[in-house]
Amino acid sequence: MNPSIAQTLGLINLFLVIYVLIDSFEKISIYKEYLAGGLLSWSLLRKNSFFTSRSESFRNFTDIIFPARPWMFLMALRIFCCVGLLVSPPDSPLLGFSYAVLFIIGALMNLRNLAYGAETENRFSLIIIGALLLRSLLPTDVVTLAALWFIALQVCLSYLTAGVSKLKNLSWRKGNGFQDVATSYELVPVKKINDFFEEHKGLSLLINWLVIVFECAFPVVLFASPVVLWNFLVAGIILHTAIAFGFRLGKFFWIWVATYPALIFIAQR
Amino acid sequence: MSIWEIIIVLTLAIWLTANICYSFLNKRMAHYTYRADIFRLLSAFQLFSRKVESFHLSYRDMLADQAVTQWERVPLNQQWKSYHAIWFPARTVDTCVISIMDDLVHIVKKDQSGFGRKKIKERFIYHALSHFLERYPQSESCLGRQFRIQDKENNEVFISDFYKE
Repeated sequence: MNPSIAQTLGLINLFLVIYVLIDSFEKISIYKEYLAGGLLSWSLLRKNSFFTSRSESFRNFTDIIFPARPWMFLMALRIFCCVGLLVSPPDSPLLGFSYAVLFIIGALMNLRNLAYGAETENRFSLIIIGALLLRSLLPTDVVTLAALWFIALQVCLSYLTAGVSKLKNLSWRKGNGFQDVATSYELVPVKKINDFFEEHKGLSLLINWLVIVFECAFPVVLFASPVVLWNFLVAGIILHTAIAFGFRLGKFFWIWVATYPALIFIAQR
Repeated sequence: MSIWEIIIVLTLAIWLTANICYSFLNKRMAHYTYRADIFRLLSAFQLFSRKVESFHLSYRDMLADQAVTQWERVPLNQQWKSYHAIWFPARTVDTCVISIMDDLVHIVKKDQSGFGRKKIKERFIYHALSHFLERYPQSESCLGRQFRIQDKENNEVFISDFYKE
């Protein structure tokens, strides 16, 4: 099955929208944390030396957009843009406008959250939104193909980086990395799962190396046969589903799987 | 190819190349990108590669008569629910607190001389953690609050002075 460009872009868009909607609603649901006294309140975050050492005009700008009320408005605007992405016809100006707004707000989210570290899922989403934004500005075949290659290469890079980092880590190299993670109650707060992997060391060792091999070898999907491609994609979906349920990092699933249609399109050309 | 197509393709190529460099030269580049890449467009996705270390946060209060209360542990891990795989807003705050503790412990371990202690008190993360703990009830006559961070084996990694926000 060779997906068309429209199908590919449609699927990427769908997963991206699901991610942004979940993320926006989650942030709105904890709006109290953005009010004075909250851990995400601007009155607290603005005291970070990164902001206090900036120019007055920069601080004035952040003081306008980062307090709770304008920030919640921007979260609502993200939701509005998602609706725009779902209903607007292909190559409509609304598409470009929505991507531009999502990109700007996503970038501002990283800036606002600097003190605690930008959220991984948001950082990755900016790669996809940025590519689709540039593609929407000039939706020619060349730019579309470049945008899809960009997304496909970025996801391969993300897995490869994760795999190489694990190989650099002694614990993962010794085969204990996965077990350390799976038996940590702080990461996986289910005692049964902690105990299970504590008792089944052989299985933990196998998963440890399967994860490393999967991540390091992932870039081969760009050049391998369709069978290999689909095996990797199914393995990726299983991995992200396990991460979503085990580590409660569900947003990782939507944003990483959003890149898979680009991989399928590029690999099957 | 038109000029605009070339510009867009070049933009994507530069972004990808920068990200490849950042992914594999992360430690060297982070020093420069911390202040330059304010929107964090460059990322090294090292998913679960770091050594797993878990810390516990607890606090106690000094009362008007100089007596101190028992240490109260801050719960940072909510009970697992299946829907958390899709919807888990509380993770945002928990992740921030865990990130602050990681950073604080990293600084403490880096500076064993004791001279940095004063500097730690001036850091944003120290202030943010104190601010976070204000949400837990304290008596009106409380003179100050103190927090400590312990590792998995309950060894004390950091203990603050008593402070009043």
